[in-house]
Amino acid sequence: MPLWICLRWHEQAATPSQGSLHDVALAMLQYSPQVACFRHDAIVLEVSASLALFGGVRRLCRRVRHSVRALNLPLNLGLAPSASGAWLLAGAPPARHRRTLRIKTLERRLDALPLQALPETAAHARWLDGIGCRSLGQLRALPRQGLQQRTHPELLRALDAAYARAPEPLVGFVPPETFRLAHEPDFHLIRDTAILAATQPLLQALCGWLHQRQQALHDLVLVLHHEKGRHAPAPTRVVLRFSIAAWRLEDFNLILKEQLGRVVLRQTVVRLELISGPALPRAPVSETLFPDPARQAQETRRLLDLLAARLGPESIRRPQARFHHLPERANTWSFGPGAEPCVPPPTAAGSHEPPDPSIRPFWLLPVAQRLDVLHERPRYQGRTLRLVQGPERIETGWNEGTHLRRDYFVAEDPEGARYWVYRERETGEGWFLHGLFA
Amino acid sequence: MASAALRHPERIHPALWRATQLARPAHPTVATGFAALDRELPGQGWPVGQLIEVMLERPGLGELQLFRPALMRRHPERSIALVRPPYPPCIQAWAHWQLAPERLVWIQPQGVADALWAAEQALRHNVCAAVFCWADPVRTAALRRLQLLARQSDSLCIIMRPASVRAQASAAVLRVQLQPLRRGLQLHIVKRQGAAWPEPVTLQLYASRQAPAHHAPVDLPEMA
Repeated sequence: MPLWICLRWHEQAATPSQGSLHDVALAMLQYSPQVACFRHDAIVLEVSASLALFGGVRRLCRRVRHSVRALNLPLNLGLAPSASGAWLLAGAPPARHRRTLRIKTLERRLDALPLQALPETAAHARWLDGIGCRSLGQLRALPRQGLQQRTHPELLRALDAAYARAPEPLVGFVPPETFRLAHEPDFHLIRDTAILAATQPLLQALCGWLHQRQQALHDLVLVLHHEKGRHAPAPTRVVLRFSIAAWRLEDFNLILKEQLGRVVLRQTVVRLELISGPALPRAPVSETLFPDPARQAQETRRLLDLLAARLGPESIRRPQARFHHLPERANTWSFGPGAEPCVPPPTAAGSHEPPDPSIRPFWLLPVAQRLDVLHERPRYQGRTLRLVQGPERIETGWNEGTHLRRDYFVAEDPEGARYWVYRERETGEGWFLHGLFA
Repeated sequence: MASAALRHPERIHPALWRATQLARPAHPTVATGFAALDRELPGQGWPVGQLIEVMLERPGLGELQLFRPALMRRHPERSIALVRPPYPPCIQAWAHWQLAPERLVWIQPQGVADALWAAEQALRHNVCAAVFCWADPVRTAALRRLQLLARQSDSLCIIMRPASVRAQASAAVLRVQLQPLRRGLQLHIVKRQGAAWPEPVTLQLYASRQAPAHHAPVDLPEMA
C-alpha cells in the first residue's frame, strides 16, 4: 500500500515561491526518490519503500520534521495512504490528528473535514450548501450518479483520489544536473555561528540532491555575498575540501564550522550561495562488525580534514621520505591532509637486508647549528660533548656544485643525553649539531 | 564477613587500593618493554585511554624511545599523531626503529590552544594508536579535558611538559619525569595509582660502547 507524506504551507502564510518549493523538494530527496510538487503549496513524497531503511514511520517522520525545521519554512506535515489525503490532513486544523496509516482512519478523518478543504467544491459551493451538504463525509454520501450529472467530473476525481480509491497522476520532481543554490536570510549576518545556521537549508538540499543521485563530493564552495555598493568588497569564498568524498550532513557541518571560524569578514553577509564541485559516484559503505582497516584509514582522513580546516593544510604533514645521502634532504614531509604517505627507501624496515647500521636521531634540526669549540671539543648549551660513536662519513653534492663532506658522530654530554654532531671537512673545520636522540 | 571486608578493604571495589600497594586498574595497559618499569606501574604497563604526563627539562633525552616498544605492540596499523613537536621528526630514525613511517602524522599548529584542540580531536575520533602532544603552558582545566577525552578513546595519550611543572597539580593518571643518564635515562615516577616511589627507575636505551651500533640494546625484548 502506498504511503504519502505531504509538506504543506500554513494557510496563513504567504503563497510559497517556486524557489522555496524547489528547495523543499531537493531536501526531501534524502528520504524518497518519488517526490512531486502538489497543487501550488505542497510537496508530496511516497515513503512506503523507505520505511525499513529509516527504522519505521515514526522515526522517518521525526527526521523529515527535523529537516523541515532546518529549512525554517512554515510547513505542516501530513501522512496518509493517498497524496490528496495527506494534503488534506496537512491542511486540517492543528487539533486534528494529521497522520494515519489505514484507509479506514483516513476515511473517518476526511469525513469530518468541511467542504471548503477540497478546492474543487468551490464551483458548486452554493448549490451544495443549499442541499445541506457541509462536510466531505456528506458529499461522499450523496448518490454518485447524481453528483456526476450535476457537478464537474474533476470533483469526483479529486474525491476518489483523496479517499485512495483512484490513482492520481503526479509529475515527479526532477533534480537539476548541477547543484547551485542561493539563500537570502532575513537578517544581515556577520557571526560564523549565524552563517552556519543560515547555511543549513542549503546543506539539507545538497544532501537530498546527492542522495538521489548516489553521489559524493570532494569540493564544495560557499560564497558569502556582501551588500552591493561602490565600495563593496568581493564575495567571500569558503572552500571546503574533503580528501574522502563526503555526502553526509555531519561531515559538511564539521568542516564548515571550522572553516567559517577562520574566515575574517569585513562586512555583513546578505546572501549565501552553495556551489558543489564535481560530483562523483559514491563508494559503497561496508557495515562490518569488526574494525576494518579501510574504515580506519577513512576515519583518519576525516580527522585530518577537520584539523586542516582549522589549522590550515600546511599544518598537517605526512612523511614523504626520499632517497638522498644528506639527512636533511632525505627527511621530507608533504603538506596537506590529502597527501599519501610515501614508503621510505629500501634501507628501512621491511627489507631482507640487515638493518641499515647508520644511526639517525629522531629530532633532526632543519638547519644544522654551529657549536662552540673548547679545547678542540664541541660544546652545546655549556656542556662539553664527548664523542661516543662514529665517524660516519657523508660525502655528496659534488655534482651539484656544493661539495659536502661531513663526518658524523654520536656525542654525549656529561649528563648522558645524546646528540648527533658532525665536523665539516670541505669548508674548513667546524662542529655542527644536527640532531637530538629523542 | 564484615571483618573480612575490613581486613581487605581493597577487595570491596576495583577502584580501591591500599596506599602501600599498586592499584589494579580497570583500564587496559600495554607493556612498556622495560621489565624494571613494568614492575612499578599499576597494571604492569602504560595505561591505555588515560592521560600520561611526561616531564623533561629539554627535548632529546630519549622520550620517544621510551614509548617505542609500546608503539610496536599497540595497534600496529593505526597512525601516531605528533602534535607540535619541538623539532622536525626524522622519518629515517622512525623506520630504523622498525615502526612504519606511514603511521606518522605530524601536526604543527601555531599556538598551544590549537595544539590542545588538535589533540582533543585526535582523541575524539579515536583513530590513533597514540597521541603525543607537546604543550606549555597548559591550564589544569585543559589537562582535565584531555584526561576525560582520553578515557573515551583507546589511544595512548601522552603530554610532554617541562620539568618545572612537577610541583603543580595535574589530572594525569601517571606522571613521570625523565632525566638523562649515560646510555639511557632515569625515570622518576611523580604520580601513580599506588604508593609513592622515591627511587628512580633506570632504563638502558643504548648498548654499551663495545657492541656494534645496530645490535638491539640487551634488555629490549626481541619484537620482530
